[in-house]
Amino acid sequence: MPLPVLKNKAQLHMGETIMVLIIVVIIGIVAFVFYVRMTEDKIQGKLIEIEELNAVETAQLASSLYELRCSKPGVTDLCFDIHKALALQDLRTTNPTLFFTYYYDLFGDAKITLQRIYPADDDIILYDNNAGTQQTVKRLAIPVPLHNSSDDTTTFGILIIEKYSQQRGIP
Amino acid sequence: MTKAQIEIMGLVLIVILITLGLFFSVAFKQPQTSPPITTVYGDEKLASDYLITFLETTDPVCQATMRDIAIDCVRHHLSQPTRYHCENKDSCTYLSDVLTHILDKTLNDWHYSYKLAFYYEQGGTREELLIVDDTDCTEYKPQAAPGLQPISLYPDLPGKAWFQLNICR
Repeated sequence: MPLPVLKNKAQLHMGETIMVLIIVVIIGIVAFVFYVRMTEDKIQGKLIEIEELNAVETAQLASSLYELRCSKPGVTDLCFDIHKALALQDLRTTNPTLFFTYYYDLFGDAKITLQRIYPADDDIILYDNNAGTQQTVKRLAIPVPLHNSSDDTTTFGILIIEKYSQQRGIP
Repeated sequence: MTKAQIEIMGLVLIVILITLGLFFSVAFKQPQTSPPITTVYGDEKLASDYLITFLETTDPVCQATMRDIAIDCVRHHLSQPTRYHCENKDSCTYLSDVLTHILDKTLNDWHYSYKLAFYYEQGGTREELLIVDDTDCTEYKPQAAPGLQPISLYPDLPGKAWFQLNICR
């Protein structure tokens, strides 16, 4: 009769060990899933932050372009010359190779538009390079006075910077 | 199964439930949303740049800058002889019309919440000569840095005047 008692105890121990193992494995899986999710969120957040910083960098470059600045003395720093902006737009359409050779390094995939709000009402596209589909767009708007040196008048303008970046997603 | 083993199983079950509870609460908790960098950067510059640009703008009807028309609005408020009478309107009305037109094409079009005012102060009394706002943008709402542009009245007029633009987030 002692043999069945011993067998039962061993089975009981075995059962306990299996239970402990199952619990440890469950906790391990939960911890792993949790860790992966947290890491994924961190990477996503970092990527978005990099895209945002790229957009801000492009906006700063565009708003401080020396070739668009007003040359009239006494005018505030925040001022674009309308003739220079129109000349840049012409260069983009008439000689795109030369234009993009220089400006692609500065702006990459982006669209930079100068909107004339008042008194005129039209758009001057300074730069436009949209490489592909499935892109996210970060948009920034900077009000800027547009000075016309011919008649010494100033128009209310908005510099629109749209920075493209590849669409991200978890497959 | 002995009584002690049943108790241990109970404890283990409680530990598992607590662990799962913690996991789900953390995993499905909405992360705190801070405004994107582009929004912060854009908003910080927007208010002051907006006012600078507006005041520099030349009006084709009056053949004067908005700054000059704003000074004329103060003259009108003080019942002094004015210099402009654009579209047969006094300078304050005309300034308000142009401002509304520009705002409709910019901040209103972008669905921004804001308060834009033109103040005049003399002898400790502050008056609002012009105000364009929506009731949503109160001082209790989170705001970007306000734009403030003083208008020099010296030496023609007494007191001080300034434009202030508050943009709510």
